[in-house]
Amino acid sequence: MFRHAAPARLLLHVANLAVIAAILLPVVAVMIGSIQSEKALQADTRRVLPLEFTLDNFVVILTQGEQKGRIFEQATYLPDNIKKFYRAFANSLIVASSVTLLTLLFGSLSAYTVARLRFRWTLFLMQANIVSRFVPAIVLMIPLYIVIRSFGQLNSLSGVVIAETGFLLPYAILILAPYFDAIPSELEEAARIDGCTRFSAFFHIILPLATPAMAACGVIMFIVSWHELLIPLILNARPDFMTLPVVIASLVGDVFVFFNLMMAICLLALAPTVILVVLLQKYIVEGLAAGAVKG
Amino acid sequence: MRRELSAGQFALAMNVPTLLFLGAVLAFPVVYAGYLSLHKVGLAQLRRGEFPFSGWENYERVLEDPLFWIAVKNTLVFTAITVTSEIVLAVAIALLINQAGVWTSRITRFLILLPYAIPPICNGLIWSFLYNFQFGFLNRILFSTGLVQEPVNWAGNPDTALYAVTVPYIWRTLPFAIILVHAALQGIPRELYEQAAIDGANAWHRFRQITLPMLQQIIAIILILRTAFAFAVFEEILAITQGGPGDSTWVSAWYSYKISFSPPNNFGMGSASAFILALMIAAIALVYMRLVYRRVTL
Amino acid sequence: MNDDFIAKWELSRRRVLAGAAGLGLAGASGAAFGQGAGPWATPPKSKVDRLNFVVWTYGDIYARISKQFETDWGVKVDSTISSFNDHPTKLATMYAAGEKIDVSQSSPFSFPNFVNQGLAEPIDDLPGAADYIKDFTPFTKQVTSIKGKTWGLPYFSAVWVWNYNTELLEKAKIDKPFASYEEFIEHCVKAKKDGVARYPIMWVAGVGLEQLPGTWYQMTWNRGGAFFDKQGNHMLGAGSVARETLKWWANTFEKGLDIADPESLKVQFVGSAKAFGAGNNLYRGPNHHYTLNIANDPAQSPKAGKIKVLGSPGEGKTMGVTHVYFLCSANRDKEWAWKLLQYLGGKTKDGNYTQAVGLAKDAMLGSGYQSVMASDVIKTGWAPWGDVPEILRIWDKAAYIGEVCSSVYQPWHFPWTDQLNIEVQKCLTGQITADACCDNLIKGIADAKRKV
Repeated sequence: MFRHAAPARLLLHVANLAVIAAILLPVVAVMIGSIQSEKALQADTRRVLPLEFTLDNFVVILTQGEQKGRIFEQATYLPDNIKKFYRAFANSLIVASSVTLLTLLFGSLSAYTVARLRFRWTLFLMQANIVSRFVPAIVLMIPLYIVIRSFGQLNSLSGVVIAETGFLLPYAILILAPYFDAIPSELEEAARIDGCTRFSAFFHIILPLATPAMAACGVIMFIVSWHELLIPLILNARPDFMTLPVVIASLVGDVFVFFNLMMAICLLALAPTVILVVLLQKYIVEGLAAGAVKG
Repeated sequence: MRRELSAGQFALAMNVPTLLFLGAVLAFPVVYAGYLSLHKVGLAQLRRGEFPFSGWENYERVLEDPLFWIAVKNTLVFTAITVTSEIVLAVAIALLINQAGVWTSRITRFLILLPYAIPPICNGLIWSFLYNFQFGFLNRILFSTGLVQEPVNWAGNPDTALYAVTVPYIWRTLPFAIILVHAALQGIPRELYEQAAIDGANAWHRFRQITLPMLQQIIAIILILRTAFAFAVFEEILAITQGGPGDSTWVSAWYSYKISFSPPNNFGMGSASAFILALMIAAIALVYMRLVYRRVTL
Repeated sequence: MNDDFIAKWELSRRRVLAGAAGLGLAGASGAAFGQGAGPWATPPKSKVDRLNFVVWTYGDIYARISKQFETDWGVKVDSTISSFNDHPTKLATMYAAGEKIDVSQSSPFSFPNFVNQGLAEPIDDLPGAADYIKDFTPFTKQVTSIKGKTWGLPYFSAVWVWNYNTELLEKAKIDKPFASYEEFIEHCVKAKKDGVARYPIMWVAGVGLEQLPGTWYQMTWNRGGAFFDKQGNHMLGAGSVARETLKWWANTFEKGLDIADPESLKVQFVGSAKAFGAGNNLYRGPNHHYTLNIANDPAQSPKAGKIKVLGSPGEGKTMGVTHVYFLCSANRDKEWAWKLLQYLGGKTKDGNYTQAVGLAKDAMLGSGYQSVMASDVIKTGWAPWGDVPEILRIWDKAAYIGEVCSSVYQPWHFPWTDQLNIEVQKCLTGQITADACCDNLIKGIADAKRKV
């Protein structure tokens, strides 16, 4: 808006570089950490770049422990969960996709009614949604466990999907409601005069218009679900059903054992959401802003 | 006349799935947690399904446990630091990336959501690697730039551990705050600035008289949201310090987790402590509700 | 001998050879070889379609033994594996959820807890149990014997040893590693002064059930003290050996002589081995003997081959533990669970202590069975990583940790240990004095009892 004088510009450039460096620091760390061996890590504790690079960490993970590579040849104490990477990845994918679908589906139904039909109880529902965002997951852990158990859904992906959907639905509604509110109601009124049912009007007219909203909400739901730790941690004890964050958390006990392996698996775990963020930034920004600011 | 649901019935039908999920996954468990906190709940009881009533006993035990109060203290310190830092940084960085004429700002804007994309547990582990005393990445960089001669013990020193853990947390959650402030900045009419510039106000004055007051609302929102979430911090503690060294990073969520899931598995006490945490957060939520609902009628 | 018996014997011999060939197992050389049709070779009468066990992680030993079980008996085995610190949590949640768990695992510290909460079942009356019990080492007997019954089979045994770095010792021009605590301090101070090692001593002082507490327990025991007397009263009072040991120990850290590596506060056994393998420290404080296999692993450690084992000062008194597997009360079928338990902690179908032998050879772990400990497996299996005769000499001087700290038998030991970790770390970092620490812990006993 305002042209800055040269010294001010310089200052701004420096500030930007500082922020960029701060953002990239952990990313660079994880990348460098994942292509080293433990030995290289300890051989020289003062170099930034290791003397030798190796892809063995990734090889071990991606071949599920079959090929140990040079650095792990003799290691008998490789954490077992490392080998479940593909399974965990698939689980994370299934859970995140299902949660995204369900929250979008049910969330849009609810958000529409909250935005359009101003009953006392829908307003109350909106308030409940806002309050729900604040509930810390820790207080839910044991009761949730028992509830999911009584549905027979422990140690299953469906149990995690149900729990996460319930947990994230309020947020989805909070993001979608303002979008629906912004769509002029004349459109539906016109449709209804022509004889459409309420649901038809919603489904055929409003929903297509709300695609950007759904995209924004959907991407956020996917990311949050991909990242979720506590819920799958408590509900799934069997390695077959663990999601990626749970596998990684299970390695924390061994964290001083194989730093480089940990970095490698972290890199693999964060790649999908980073790619999503880079590609769909615009939508995420809109969604995040919508979910907190009203009007 | 088409037969169709009335507005009320329609609304109800559309909300059935939501109500079911909220009820089963949120409402009931929260109430049930309260119920559990009033009973004696250990492993054997959980398996049998019978919980003897114990009244306020769990709460008494929690409130007289010095570790609980240390956890509360640490949580409050942690929250205070992260929230104030985030607000200051969010405003500063949002202004920075708003400078359309500066090309480095565009790069920053492109990268700004990166921390949001990192799973919290991965973030914790990466910083654990950064902070490691013997061979951590951060120390390596400091050696290379000649800033230090001796390795620094970031997370292993009880005096600095809590502050050390705030950094990854702020790093991860800042993008959210930045986005909000940035969005709010877009809502400030240009004319205000132009008018002020004509009247002779410099950049600092423009910031103080125009920008800051217009950002009040969003800052309040960030303050409340981030406070509530920071109260429940868990992943970073799990990944980096596990509560140590000593008790310097025991926070409330960690306390509830350990009480419930380490032997002797006193789930009753764990539920009680978690419930207290939830109540503290609920108070914050209420403030948020009043603030947001006063302004908007949605 | 009747015909039936001979026939069974022939059958199992064939099976042994076929099994060994088929699985390509590096046979159990020297270990107690197949004794014929023992109870471990007989299938139970009932049928199950799957079994499971809940354990903490250790490489891929479980994948192998599960496969062997499936091959031998045709029953699929599932495993739930978590990290060591998470294991009690995992087990608790599964048990509380009403899940079926056939076999699980425990450290000596959680075991009394588990038994008291009804998670385990005694094995005394099960077929073949008596033979196992006869072969238990003294440690094992002390862990598994609760309320007059036997509650599990051994997983592995370990004793606490010191390590030293031969390279740095040479550089510091010290002939022999220390034989007394005074010499130890001398060596460390000298090494630091001469610039040989900034932090001559790496302790195991990371939070855990037997890591930080183990170091304190071991040194107290070595100096002739204990934590609780025979009546169960604490021995942490003013002037006690435990308190003085803590004072001495804290003095090696930053606020005192500053010879202790700050990393000590974060590392557990394996972590300290890796850190020690980087070659920056002269000595490594009391730790589990088998972690030598990490410090001396050429693929992992820059200082492989230069790390040696050292006995403790004075008479060499040290302590040991046995971790155990147990039969869970939430089992599907007791007989089959017993079978699975034996594969993990006893004899496989061919009559060999397959798992124990494998662990000794691959991971330098000790066994809870006297026959295995006395066999060649130990002598040859441990050789690549350490001085076997020396370790076995140290083993002879080891008492069970329960004698050092008898609260391990109490259900409140766990929450008390949580507090112990916190208080001791505060003491080591100079935030509180050793006196304050011990006083807090004395008060903490009552607190812990109430948390149960």
